Amino acid sequence: MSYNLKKHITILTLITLLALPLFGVLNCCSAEDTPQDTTLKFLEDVAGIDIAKYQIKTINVLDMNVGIADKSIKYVFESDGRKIEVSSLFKNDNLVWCKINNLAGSLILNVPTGNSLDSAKSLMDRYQTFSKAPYLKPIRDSLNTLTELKSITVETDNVKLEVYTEGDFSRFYWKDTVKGIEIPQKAVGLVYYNGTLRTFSDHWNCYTIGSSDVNFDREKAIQTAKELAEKYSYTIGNTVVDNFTVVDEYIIAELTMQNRGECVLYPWWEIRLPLDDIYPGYVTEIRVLMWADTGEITYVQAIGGGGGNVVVSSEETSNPTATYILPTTDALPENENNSVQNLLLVSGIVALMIAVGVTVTKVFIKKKKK
Amino acid sequence: MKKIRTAIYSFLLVLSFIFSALTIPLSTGYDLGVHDASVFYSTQYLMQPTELDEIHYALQQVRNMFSQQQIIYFLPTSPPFPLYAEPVYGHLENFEAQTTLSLLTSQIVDCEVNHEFSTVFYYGHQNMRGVGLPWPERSYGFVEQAAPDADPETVGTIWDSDIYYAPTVDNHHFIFLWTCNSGNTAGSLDPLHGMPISWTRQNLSTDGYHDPDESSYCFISFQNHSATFIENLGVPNQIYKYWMVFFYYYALQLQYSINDALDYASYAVGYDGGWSDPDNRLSGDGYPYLWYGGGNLTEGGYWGKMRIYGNGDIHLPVTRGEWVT
Repeated sequence: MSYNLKKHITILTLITLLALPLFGVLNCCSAEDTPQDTTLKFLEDVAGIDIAKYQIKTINVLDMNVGIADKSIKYVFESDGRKIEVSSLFKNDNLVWCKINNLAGSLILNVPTGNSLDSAKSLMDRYQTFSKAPYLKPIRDSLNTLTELKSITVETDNVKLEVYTEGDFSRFYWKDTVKGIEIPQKAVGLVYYNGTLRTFSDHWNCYTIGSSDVNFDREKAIQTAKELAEKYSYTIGNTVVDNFTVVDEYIIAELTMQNRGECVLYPWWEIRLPLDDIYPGYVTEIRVLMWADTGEITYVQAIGGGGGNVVVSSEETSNPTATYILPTTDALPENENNSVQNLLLVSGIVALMIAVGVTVTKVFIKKKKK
Repeated sequence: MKKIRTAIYSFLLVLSFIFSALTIPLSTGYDLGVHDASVFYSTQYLMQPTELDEIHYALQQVRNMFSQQQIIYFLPTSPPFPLYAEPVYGHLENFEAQTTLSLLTSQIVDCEVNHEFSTVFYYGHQNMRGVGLPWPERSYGFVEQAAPDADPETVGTIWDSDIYYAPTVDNHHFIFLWTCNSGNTAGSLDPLHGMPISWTRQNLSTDGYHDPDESSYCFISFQNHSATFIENLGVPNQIYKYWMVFFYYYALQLQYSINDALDYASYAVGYDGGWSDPDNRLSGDGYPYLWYGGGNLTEGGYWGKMRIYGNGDIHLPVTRGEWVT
């Protein structure tokens, strides 16, 4: 091999190694780590739980599809009356979701406790070290703009940080955007309750963008939805409900990037047409869903609810002395009763036949021995 | 001697198969008077045909999951020998659109008297009233079976007090009412109102997900508006019915706690943050429904979210093994 060729190969290898983290290939842990190892490392190094002080009571690993995840792991840890259950989900061996449920006692932590904002800042520092994924830097940096814990939305470049806090509950959620369109799934999230991490999620690398071309703009999408609503009808019993009047000034059309399959994202319209009245079934809107790149309609539906009437004044009272029917088998359809009884009868006959069979066999064996 | 032992083991094996076969679920329901109970109700009142279809399929699917839960009895041999099996839910009824006050109360009594742990699921509409209660407190009720286009004046309501006064209500450990408003309040006994307290006779935690209490009860329903099974979840190709079926799948087939089932069902329908995902329309600070203002929606916010009362860390009874005694 010539010197030049060797030199080129060496340079290429170095560039590849240096570039790997940029593509997020070195996400989370080393190649040898199993998802179980990753969960334990995450708990110790990122969540700040002193996992060495706990004993693993059970571990349950399931290769199953849950949404986009392909593996589920559940740990139960115990330590001197303390008990925590940890659920984690993986996609392609990358930790994408983890829930820490403290079932008894206080958590044994290896990091100082603080309020949720301080905890989130230090956790994201540790997660950057743990993951090494480059997309985490702007995510972590966005927290620097916050000095107090309050509900707020901060938008920087392509990252949208939503902080929601109410009582003991705090949630930090970072979402990606493309051409100003929000990508709800491409997100990193932290949920705290009472200053303690409850849920972690990171799906930033799980999705790819198929197209962000919006060929059906807002106006065109709403126009299409209104035309569909004009022709739309539904039935309640024998009553056909149609001729809806849409209240134009309250129309909502929301554009997001959504998964069309295989974790590939495309722009998607959710168009909500408010109606001028309450139609049968407590219907107050017609909803139309449409892919914004192709204009394909996937859903047109009158949206109602399980509401009802409010009796403001009435003579009607509850009837605590209502006649109750006892026993329950009276409430069963007749054939159902019969089938239960038949089953019991059949089981009795079968058991009797088997008992006779066994006795005969025993006698036969005894006779043969003699 | 070896032949006799072989014959006995063969006999026991055949017997276990027969018992297993006998416990295969019946077509619509059964009550064998043992172990736990699970009862499903709904109504056709104000339902669209597609919604009725989804209710039917969902309740059938979930009922089948309940029916698959078995107690397997083992002989204490080495290795343990599975002798026979019984259904965990010895009382399993899917009444769908047969809901009446008398049926419901008789079922409550039966569950209390003959079973250890009872669950109830109801899907349909509800009513509220303020008679005898200081404003803004309300009594809550859900409707009995009625034709989809029945005259509202003819549609009966099963009120919270009807349930409370059904005798000795204390083993209904998991109640899921898919209606509007039934989750507005944990309720109170003075004066009596509210579905959670009426079903469980407990002062339940108002946040059974984040702050579960120590009880063995969990009550789930909607605060304000409830979505229909046919409504989209804000994720392509996902409707609320799928979420509900997933919820029971994780609670029963994978034996997860109620809270974990909430998370996994949410994840399964595309809320990657689980129950706490900010886009999850079932949880969080509630999903705002569109209402222009016409008609007679006179009170209550026109937004909705699911509320978890009591202890969301409880598990539904599922398949387990026991020794033959």
